[in-house]
Amino acid sequence: MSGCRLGLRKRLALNIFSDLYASTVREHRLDTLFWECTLRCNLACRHCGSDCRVDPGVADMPLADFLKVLDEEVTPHVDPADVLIIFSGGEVLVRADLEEAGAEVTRRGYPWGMVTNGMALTPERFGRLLDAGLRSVSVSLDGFEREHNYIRGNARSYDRALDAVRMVVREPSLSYDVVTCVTGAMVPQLEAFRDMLIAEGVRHWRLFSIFPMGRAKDDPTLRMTDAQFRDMLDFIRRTRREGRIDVSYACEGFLGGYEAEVRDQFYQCAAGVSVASIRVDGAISGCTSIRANYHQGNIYRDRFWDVWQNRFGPFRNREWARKGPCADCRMFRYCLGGGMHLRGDDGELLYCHYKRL
Amino acid sequence: MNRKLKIALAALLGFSAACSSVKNAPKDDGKQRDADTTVVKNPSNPRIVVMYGVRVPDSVRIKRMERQHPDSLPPVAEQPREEASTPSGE
Repeated sequence: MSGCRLGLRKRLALNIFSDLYASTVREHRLDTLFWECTLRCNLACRHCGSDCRVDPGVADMPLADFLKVLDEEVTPHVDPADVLIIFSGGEVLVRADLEEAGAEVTRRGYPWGMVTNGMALTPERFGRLLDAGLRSVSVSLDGFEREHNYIRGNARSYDRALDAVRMVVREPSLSYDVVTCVTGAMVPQLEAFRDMLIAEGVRHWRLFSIFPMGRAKDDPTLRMTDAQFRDMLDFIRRTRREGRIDVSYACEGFLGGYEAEVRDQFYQCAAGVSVASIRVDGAISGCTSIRANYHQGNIYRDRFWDVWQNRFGPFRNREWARKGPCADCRMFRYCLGGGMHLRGDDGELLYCHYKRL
Repeated sequence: MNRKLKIALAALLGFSAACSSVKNAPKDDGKQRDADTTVVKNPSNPRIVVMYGVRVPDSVRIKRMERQHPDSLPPVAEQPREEASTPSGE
């Protein structure tokens, strides 16, 4: 349990951060808006938290509906240059009008980015997306060929993702990172995989782990043991000290003694505090990794800005999460019950990172 | 305790970057792309990326930092404004 231990200096800093974060919550300035523009996907990954498939039975949201919300409910209240729009899915590249969406968002002054599995990213399409103002991309690459293709369920997916990575790292105007969902099978290979990424010119790498939602919750081959989880964090800490690649663990959960050593900042869940999403069916929520029903409204029924300003109570006051294993946990002050995406529909905690340490 | 004092205390403890609530990204993408062994880590430019999100473009990050810490611009950047004389010489 050595990973749990917090030194005095870090504990003092965490107390200060908690106070500062409380004022950020009070302010709840919107700085990231996800648009879940489709649930369609050209893959059917084993670990998909969104349970996406080729035909999800849910229609894409028309671009005009999203733009109407931007124009009427967001732009009047923000400086567009300050709000990052992220197109998410599903796989965003299955939308034929993605370039049009990007161009419209850019025309309104918003920076935008997207997350992709790279399957459909040809050089021609990449060029058109850049012309449409694309500013940031995350490409999913879950390991070497065998591991990646196993997770993605497609024999060509590794090659396509790697091609996408090569395109992205060579475009100087872009912010980017490679995102890796680490499974138990990948833990012993992380050093070799890191070296391969460095050799490919990758400078920014983000790791996360399976959380028990969507298809992933039923697949034990994807999970890490607690020991593997600690090995992964040790690897990230070690790699950050070496400084050859900017690597970090995702914003998933509170990490005790690893805090500020595997990420640049202390743990915080920004969902509903500075991050909102508009789901494919119009639902308004926090970040798109939250699959349980914490919807705060719907753009087809409610005014987005009114929802953002006056609802989101469960996101901004997490006292309700002080129950179950969190009821008497001394770390609650720092983690506030963990990420919203780790809570089920009835509020139960699905997974505690700290307890794995 | 006010916000500035808290930030100063965090800095004293060596955790000023970790306490930032601005989503940041290292600045030097373009400069560092060509060198295989360049040290990328830059503790003064922390970042968090939302779980399913993307890295915040540098221009957006800098703008947010300026908003959050308007008085933390480098003195060099502030100096010309302070020294510029008005047309009337006041």
